[in-house]
Amino acid sequence: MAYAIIVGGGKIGYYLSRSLINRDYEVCLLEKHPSHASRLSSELGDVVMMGDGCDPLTLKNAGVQRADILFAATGDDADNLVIAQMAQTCFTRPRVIARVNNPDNEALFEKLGIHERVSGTATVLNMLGQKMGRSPVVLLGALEKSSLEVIEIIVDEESPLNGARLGDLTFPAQCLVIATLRDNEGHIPSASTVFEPGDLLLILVPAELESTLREFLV
Amino acid sequence: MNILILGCGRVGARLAIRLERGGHNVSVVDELREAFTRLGGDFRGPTYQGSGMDSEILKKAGIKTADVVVATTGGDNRNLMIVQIAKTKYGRERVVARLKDPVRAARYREMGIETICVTTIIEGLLEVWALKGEFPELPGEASVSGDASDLM
Repeated sequence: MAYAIIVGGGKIGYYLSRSLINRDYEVCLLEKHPSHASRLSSELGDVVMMGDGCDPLTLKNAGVQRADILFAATGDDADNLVIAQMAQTCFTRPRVIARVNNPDNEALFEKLGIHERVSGTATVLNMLGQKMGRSPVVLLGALEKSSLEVIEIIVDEESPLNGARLGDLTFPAQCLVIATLRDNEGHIPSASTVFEPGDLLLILVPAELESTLREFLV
Repeated sequence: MNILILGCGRVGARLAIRLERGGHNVSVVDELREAFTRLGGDFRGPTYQGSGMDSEILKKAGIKTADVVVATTGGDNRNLMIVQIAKTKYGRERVVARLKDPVRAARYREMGIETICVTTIIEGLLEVWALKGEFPELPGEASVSGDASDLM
């Protein structure tokens, strides 16, 4: 059974704990505020532990040395940064993942060695941008420990892709259209695929070319 | 020197006054405008309201030309994040974080981040006092000599 330590009992930490428990994970939810911790434990039971996730002794008591994952899930980026750094430098065992609340902090976390991150705000902003019609290109996610990303684009009337044959398009180097979705049916495209308005494309792109690809697509 | 102080609590404010009196250019950042009243009427340096973790505020407050950056907000983790921004994003070298927690202070020092821990210092001084019945001379008191009271 996999063991996950979640630091921070806010909405994310709470719902994540609940869903991991349902998926048969062993869970420890660390919350530093006593009153909030006792409220959480009346709902979730023994999995809740009161303590500060920045403190190596607390983490040790929570069993960090046998944990598979430690997720720094608080609503405060400074807290998440320090929790992740302390866990990474004091312990070798768990995989450390940090929540990044302010998208501007992504690059800083990366530079400081926090390579596995979840950014709720960035994802929501991105998807909201698409719903509001501002950005038809959405970053779906990055492939772990690589510089590859998967982005999603919806072809509209004005798109340079509209009516174009895939074989005739010169995408930026190393970009690969991996799937298209038309009328709720997925296809693996070939050179002869011709794009229509409403088509949804999944494209694999090296992270450093993402902006070049965005310019190419809109 | 150009000195940037993040956090205008008692420590930040008094340090700012002290360094300005020493002839340095001091700018101060705090999230609360009221915090700047601690600087008193004689402080001439610029003050900026905002978060010390916000790049826009840091740039406005002159991080790019700061010779010294001192993070002395009320939060240990905030201070640790600020000094790491100053170091990695803006290449500042003379950077220090004031902390309350000795464990974090020691760990980050090992990681190459300069820290000063109030708990460790006071604990050490009290130990000396308990054993000898007197305090050693402190650098802070020595350098303001007679005018420590008007720093209030």
